[in-house]
Amino acid sequence: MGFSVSASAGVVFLGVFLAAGIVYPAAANGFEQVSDARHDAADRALAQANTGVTVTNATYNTTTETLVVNATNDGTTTVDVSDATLLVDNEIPAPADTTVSVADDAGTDLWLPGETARFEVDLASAPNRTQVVVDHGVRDASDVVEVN
Amino acid sequence: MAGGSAAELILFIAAIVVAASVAGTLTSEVDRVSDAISAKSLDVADEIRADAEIVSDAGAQVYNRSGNENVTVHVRNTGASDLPADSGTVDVLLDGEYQTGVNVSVVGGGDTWHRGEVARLEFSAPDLPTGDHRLKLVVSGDEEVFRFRT
Repeated sequence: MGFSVSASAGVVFLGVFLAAGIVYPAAANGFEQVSDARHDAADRALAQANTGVTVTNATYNTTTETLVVNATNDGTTTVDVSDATLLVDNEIPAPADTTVSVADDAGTDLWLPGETARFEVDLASAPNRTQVVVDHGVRDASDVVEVN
Repeated sequence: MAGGSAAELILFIAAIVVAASVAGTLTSEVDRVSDAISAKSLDVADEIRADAEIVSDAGAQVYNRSGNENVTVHVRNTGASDLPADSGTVDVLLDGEYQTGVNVSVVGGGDTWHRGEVARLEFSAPDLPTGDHRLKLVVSGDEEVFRFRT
C-alpha cells in the first residue's frame, strides 16, 4: 500500500514536471516577444518626441505656377527626405511635378537637424493650404501665400 | 495471504493507472494552454508594433475634394511592421457609423503598406451634412481620431 502511494505520487510529479517543461518555454518566449515589441514602441515614442518640423513659408508664384514650401527640421533626429510627404490641399502631388532639395542639395536623402528643405511643385492653380509630414507622422501645416 | 497480495497488486495497478491519467490530462491541457499563450503573445506583439497616424490636414478640404462626395484621408504607417494595403487592415467609423467599401491605396503603388509609407483611404459618404464630423480609424488595435468640418 505504501509503495502504491509513492509510485503514483511519482507518476503525478513526473506529469507536473513535464507540464512545467512545456509551459515555461512558451511563457518565456511570449513574454520576450511582447517585451521586445514594447521596447520598439518606446524607442519609436522617443524618436517621435525628438522629431520636429516647421513650415517656415509656403508661397505660390502665379507667374511661374510653382508652389515653393520651405520647411526646417527643428528636431534632433535626421529625417529621410524620401519619407517626407508634402500635402497640397490634402492631395499628394505627383512625384514627377515635385522636386525636393535640402540645403541646396537635390541629391541627398538626409535632412539633418537645423537644415531647411525646399519643396517645389508645379501646380496649375493656387492652393490654400500645404502640409509637410516627416517620420513618425510629425507634421506642420501652413497657409499658402500668393506672389507674382 | 495470496489473496492479500493479489488485492494489493490490483490496488497498485489502479493507483498507477489513475496517477498516469491525471498526469496525462494535466500535460495535454498545459500543452493547449502553452499553444494559446504563444499565439496570443504573437498577436499582442503585432498589435504593439502596429501604429498609424492620420496625416491629413484638417484645415484643408477633406470631404468632396474630387466632387464625388467621398471622404479622403491620408494615413501614414508609423509602426514597426508592414501591413497589407486592403480594406481588411483598417476599420473606419464616421460619426459613429461603421464604413464599408473603404478603398485603401498606397501612395506610390504596391499591395504592401510599408513602414513610413502613406496610404490614401477613400470612402463614399453621400449627402454628408454641413458641420463638424469625427472620423475614427482603427489599425491593428491602434485607434486614431480625426475631426474635420464640412
